[in-house]
Amino acid sequence: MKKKRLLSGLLIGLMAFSLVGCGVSGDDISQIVIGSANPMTGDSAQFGDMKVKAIQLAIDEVNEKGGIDGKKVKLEIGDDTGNPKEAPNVAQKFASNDELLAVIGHWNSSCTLAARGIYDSSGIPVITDSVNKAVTDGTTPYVFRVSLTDTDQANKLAEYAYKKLGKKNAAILFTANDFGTGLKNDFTKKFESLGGNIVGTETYFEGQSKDFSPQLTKIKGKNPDLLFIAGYYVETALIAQQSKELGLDVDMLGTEGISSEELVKLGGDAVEGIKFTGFFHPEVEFPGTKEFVKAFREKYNKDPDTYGALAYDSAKLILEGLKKNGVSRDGIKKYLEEVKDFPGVAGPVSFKNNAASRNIIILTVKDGKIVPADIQPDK
Amino acid sequence: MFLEHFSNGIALGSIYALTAIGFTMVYGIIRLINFAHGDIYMVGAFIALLGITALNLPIVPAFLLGMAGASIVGILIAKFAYSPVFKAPRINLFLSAIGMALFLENFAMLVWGPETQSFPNVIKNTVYVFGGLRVSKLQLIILGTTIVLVLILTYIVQYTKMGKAMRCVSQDMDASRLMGINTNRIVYFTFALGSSLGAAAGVLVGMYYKAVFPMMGFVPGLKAFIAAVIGGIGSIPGAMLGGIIMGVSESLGAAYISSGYRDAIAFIILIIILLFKPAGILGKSVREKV
Repeated sequence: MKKKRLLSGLLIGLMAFSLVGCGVSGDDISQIVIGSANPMTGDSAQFGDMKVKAIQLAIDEVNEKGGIDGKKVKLEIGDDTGNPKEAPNVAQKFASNDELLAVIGHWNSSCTLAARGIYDSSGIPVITDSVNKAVTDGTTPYVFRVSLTDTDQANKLAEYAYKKLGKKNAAILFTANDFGTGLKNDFTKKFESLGGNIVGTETYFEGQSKDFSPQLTKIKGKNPDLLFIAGYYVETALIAQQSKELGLDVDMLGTEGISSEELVKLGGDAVEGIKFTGFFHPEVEFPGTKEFVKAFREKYNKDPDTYGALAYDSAKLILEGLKKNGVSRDGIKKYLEEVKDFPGVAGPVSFKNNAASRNIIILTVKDGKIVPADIQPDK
Repeated sequence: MFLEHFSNGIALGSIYALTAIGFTMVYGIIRLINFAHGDIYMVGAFIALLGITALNLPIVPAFLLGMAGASIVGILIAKFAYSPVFKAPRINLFLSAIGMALFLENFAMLVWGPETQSFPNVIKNTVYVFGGLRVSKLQLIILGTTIVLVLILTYIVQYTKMGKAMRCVSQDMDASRLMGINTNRIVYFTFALGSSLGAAAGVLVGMYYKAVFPMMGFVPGLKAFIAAVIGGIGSIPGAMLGGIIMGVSESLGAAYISSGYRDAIAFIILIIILLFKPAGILGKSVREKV
């Protein structure tokens, strides 16, 4: 009998306790979740890895200071494998999570274009570093771009090549996706309108092509004075090496897609002197750049790259929006629309029609190091 | 210009040939389209890279280490992934191979990371110019290594007891078993041999392009399959021929048609061959399939 009473007492106690528990958790969201939708596996996994590292750094800094409104910020990682078929699945998963307030990503344009409709209809603000111009064509007000469009970048590069470097006959080698094709078309248009000639265009497939000798041999026959490479660093390193072997001695120009320490590791001597766009360089300092680079080095034992820096700025923008306008998706969107010259580690950020406007810097490889080039474009 | 494209194609073709031989050997013995073969090629390249960077081996021992490591991996795969489903319908074996390929890719990503890793500059590459023909030292090494390995393989298959047994098993496994041949041992030996050739191709690619990464085996695996079918699947000389044809036609096709179509060209050749000579170029004339 005694035993029974004890048991029922325990049961009642337990029930009361669980009721109290319910009351607390039903109140409001207990944590803030930010999503990162990037390639974590597959051919482009290294970019996703860098971005996640940088976002985590920004979140840790906020959490160490007690979070936002007493709530800790958590990062949820979605893996789109760099494949536009996977991207909508990631977006769908994020959209069904009420605690998730904003997304950073996707890394490549094809993925962003495939997923942006889902984010937009669920009202999740997205900051992406994809460069295809269609990403911010005005149809998806929740999607913001922190980098320059490929058009802006190609225009600035064409101008730099023609006016600053004095090149007249350019050949183009581009990766066969939205990014590469967009760059090729825009560069061609601008370069020709300035008075230059495009003597040859060749293409390849990112992550699959390793042998560029047919393309390069063909380009060699056209005698260009500049080779514009619209692609990423792995292929660019191979292109540089193979053109050396084929005896194609020509100045090379690339985009921010090749701005990575790995370019030098893979390319060795062959990439000496190659020039490319940068949005970020540890030596080009803005407020906070030094601290960011130091913190990143301490935590991960490597230097941040352009994508890392942009992802860090994106995370900071979102966190700032949460602080300013309260914990909601629309608060972040409102903040992004209104922000003026946000002090990012890769330079000040403001959005106009959802796209950031910023200056480019030209980087080059000198003695195995990536440094700002001697000749810089006009501001 | 034509000669330059041609020599590029020969170098590329010898690599395809090496990969295709391993592929075709396994098919010859157990009728398995081994889709994990391309990933064994990747594993071989990574093991050789490990030998160079972690153990500080010179290139030749590292090369042999890569081949040895890959043959052990090949045997393990045969033992744990293929022999349990050996008696099951063919489709199970095929699915097991695809599963194995995915497993190896993701395993490599976990162990070595997803990034492309640079292969150290082990051989100073110089370019020789003969008239209009430019040939690099590495291209010559690739061609030379391929020829040496193929000669060794031919010797093993034609003149050793093991080779004789392999040829028997490829003709009729059950009859061979009745004649007292340990067919399991032959199957494992074939896997070891085929995998080591695949690994050799992987290491050569690593040296040539100075880059090694977990997904590097996928496309070459497919190309090796095509090369094997073009030459006549199951036939070693056929695989060599198929590989060379693929390499050269890809290089020339990319040069004179369009670089965007270079992978498609491989498949177009495959379709043409299948339409006009379904058994492959050397498919009929060579009876012994090993």
